[in-house]
Amino acid sequence: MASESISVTTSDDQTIQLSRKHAQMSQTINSMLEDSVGADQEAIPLPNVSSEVLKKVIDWCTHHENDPAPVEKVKKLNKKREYKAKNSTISDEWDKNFVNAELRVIVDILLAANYLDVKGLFELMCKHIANELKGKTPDQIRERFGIQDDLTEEDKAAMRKAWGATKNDS
Amino acid sequence: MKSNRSTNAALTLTTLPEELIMEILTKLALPELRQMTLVSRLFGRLARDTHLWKGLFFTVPPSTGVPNSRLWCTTVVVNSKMYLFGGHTTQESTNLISDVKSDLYEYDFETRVWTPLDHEMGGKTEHKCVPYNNCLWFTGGYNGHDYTNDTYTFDPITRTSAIVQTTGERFSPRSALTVGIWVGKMYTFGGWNGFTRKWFNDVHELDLETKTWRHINPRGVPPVQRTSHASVIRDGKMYIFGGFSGENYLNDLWELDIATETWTDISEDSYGQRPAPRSRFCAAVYGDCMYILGGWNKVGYFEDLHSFNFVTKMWTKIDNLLGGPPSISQYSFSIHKNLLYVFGGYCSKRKECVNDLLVYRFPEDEGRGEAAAEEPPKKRSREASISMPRKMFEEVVSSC
Repeated sequence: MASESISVTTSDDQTIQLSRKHAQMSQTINSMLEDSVGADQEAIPLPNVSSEVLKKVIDWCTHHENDPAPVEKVKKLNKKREYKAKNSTISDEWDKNFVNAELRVIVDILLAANYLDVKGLFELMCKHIANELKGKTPDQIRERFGIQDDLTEEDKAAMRKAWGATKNDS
Repeated sequence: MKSNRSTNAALTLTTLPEELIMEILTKLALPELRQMTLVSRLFGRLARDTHLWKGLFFTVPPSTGVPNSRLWCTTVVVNSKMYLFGGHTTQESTNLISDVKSDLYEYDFETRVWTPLDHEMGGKTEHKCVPYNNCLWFTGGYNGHDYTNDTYTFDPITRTSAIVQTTGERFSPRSALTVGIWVGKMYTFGGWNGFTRKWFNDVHELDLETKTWRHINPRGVPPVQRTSHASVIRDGKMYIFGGFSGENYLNDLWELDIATETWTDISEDSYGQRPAPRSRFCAAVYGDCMYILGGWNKVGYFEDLHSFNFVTKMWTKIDNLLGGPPSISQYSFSIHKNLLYVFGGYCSKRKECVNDLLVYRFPEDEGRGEAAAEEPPKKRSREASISMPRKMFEEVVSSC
């Protein structure tokens, strides 16, 4: 009979126990478990996830463990056939608090959520970063995210010309 | 390798895999995407990435004098203006042709104004039109009473129309044929006659200089008879895809070598997933690719856009992260610069005949060979490579 807790080994060689329920919220771990049915459960290596980040992921899974399973959304026709951005609103109060972290941590969680294939958490991180990009000038975005400005004035002029200039240009 | 990422300092967004950045960008509205292009080269490239844009059709905001809703009109570009002629509407929800149109419009891509033009041509629908020598050449179609096999011309500069007096063996009266042009000659294929209930698979050539028709009997096994199929001409070869044979909906792909007059079935000489069998759609060629959109197969309407790359022989379903193409049939296609324009047709979502003008930007990564567009695309300039037509973009932005 399958045990109720799963061991995983993180990139920093920590062995961490997590409940089967939480483990199965990761499609990556879930498929590893399915592949090894009946075999002795050895610790699953997660070489791309640190223990610090994994603990964050487990925190999120714990809070969301009773969420309904994500439904595969059928792609609907965008009626007006106009460009329509995906929704980036974060409505859960706990989630809002959860994303209130250093950018370094956010990026690590995003990468871990992508690697572990935890859809809800991945979405949350994308939404948060998108919200951080919104309403900022290019200068502010570069400063906030530590991005180097490698565009020449010519490049920028060409972009503005192609896209139409606005008063927020820096 | 045990990289402990959490100890890395100053980890920025730029270290993320690009597909993750793309996921984030799909949550930005257009003005925000635009800002991203001014942040850095990486973000500039990703914000303009074809994955974000491709497969996306924009509705050109309605302007003055838009022609009424209709099916199967023709739209052809001559001297950077688009000319729309004919088409029909149906009785209620039936397929019966009720109103065959005889109106002719000129559309200015810059001002987006439609201007009705006077002429002396009778109404036509399910006809075809090619541009040649700065004139429009209309042929075949149904005129409200009869299936036809005559040819008209309209000269947009002198604004005069004429019936072309031809000699030789022309095709029998029919509609829903396809027509292409190659080196001063027009090539027709297929179609049907609803009175005799005959479907066709014959090929005819009209020399547009000598006005002489010729019935071509190509070598090899010909494609099965069909109507409402699509065809394009590229590099001396005419390609036929799909259609309705009178019995079956088709998704075979044929090549007619115009020089050697030989048919070849190239359906199996391709990779990727061929589009499902269908009729009532159009095809357009741009660069190395043929594009087909929507159509129907009696069971339902398609809501898809496919490309076929003639060089790699690869079929690709063009999808994007934001939504699918419109679900329409019996529309018309025309190409201007790097944009595909789609007018009218039956929209299955709205269950009605429409008069929308849609525009689709061809992917930039598919190369720009000698396109069969009326104007050969100019060499890729710095500005062209980031061209989202400014006016269109501003209006799309303002409607967000």
